Amino acid sequence: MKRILLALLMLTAGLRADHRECLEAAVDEMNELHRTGGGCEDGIFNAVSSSMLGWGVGLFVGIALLTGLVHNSHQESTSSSSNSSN
Amino acid sequence: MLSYVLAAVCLFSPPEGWEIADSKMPSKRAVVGFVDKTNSGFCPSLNLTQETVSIPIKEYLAIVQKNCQAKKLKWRQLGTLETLSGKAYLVEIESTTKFGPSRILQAILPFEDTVYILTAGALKKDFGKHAPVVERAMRSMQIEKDLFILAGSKADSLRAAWQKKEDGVESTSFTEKVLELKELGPVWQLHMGKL
Repeated sequence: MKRILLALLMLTAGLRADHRECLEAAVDEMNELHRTGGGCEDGIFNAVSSSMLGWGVGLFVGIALLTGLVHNSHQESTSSSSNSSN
Repeated sequence: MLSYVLAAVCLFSPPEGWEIADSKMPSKRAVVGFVDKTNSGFCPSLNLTQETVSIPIKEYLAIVQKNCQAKKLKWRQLGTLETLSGKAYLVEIESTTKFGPSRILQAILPFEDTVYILTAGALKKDFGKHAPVVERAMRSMQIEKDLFILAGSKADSLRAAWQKKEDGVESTSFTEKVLELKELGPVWQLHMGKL
């Protein structure tokens, strides 16, 4: 009797494992299908983000130049004011 | 490593003067990107992505269309375009950005179990100006399994240099040789750099 129960338990455990594997495979397939088209979506996203980033880099360079100019003019004005005070 | 050498890669010639985009692009599927930074504002760009697919190209395009429509993007198939490695499907997408309406053009080239997608983006009002160079870049799409063979007469010496690098004997010679072959383009050089 014990042997029969053990055999049944092993069989059900095996079936459950098979069932789980099938489910996992189905989930993988679903995910794969859900992700289909990701290459095109990423392409669109990259096109927009690269364009923005290009603009961002340009803006950064502009700000850096402006900061440099402001810094220099501040130095000049400081030196001129110190000269005038002398 | 040999398996990577023989893995198919997509090459293309970017428009002259366009700079390589930041290599830290957020998408894992992105291979390489280029940006035209000659003018300020929304810069025209070109990027290559790829995706492994197990469905026919027509079904793939239908899914892409559905995805775009779900995001309220205007999606339109323009027909096909002849590339160096066969027929690519041309798709136009329109979206709105902070800078105004933008136009995105995708050349989708299927090869074996992969689709290679070359995407060009620019503001709608400027797109016409960039269309000829974008079209040329798209037509230059080429799938290649052996990157060394493109070096022609220099292929053997290049392969030998790569082997030396692989064996840990010397790596500078290979890099120098790759950089010397400017005529093969930055995309080829980039792929070779990954070997």
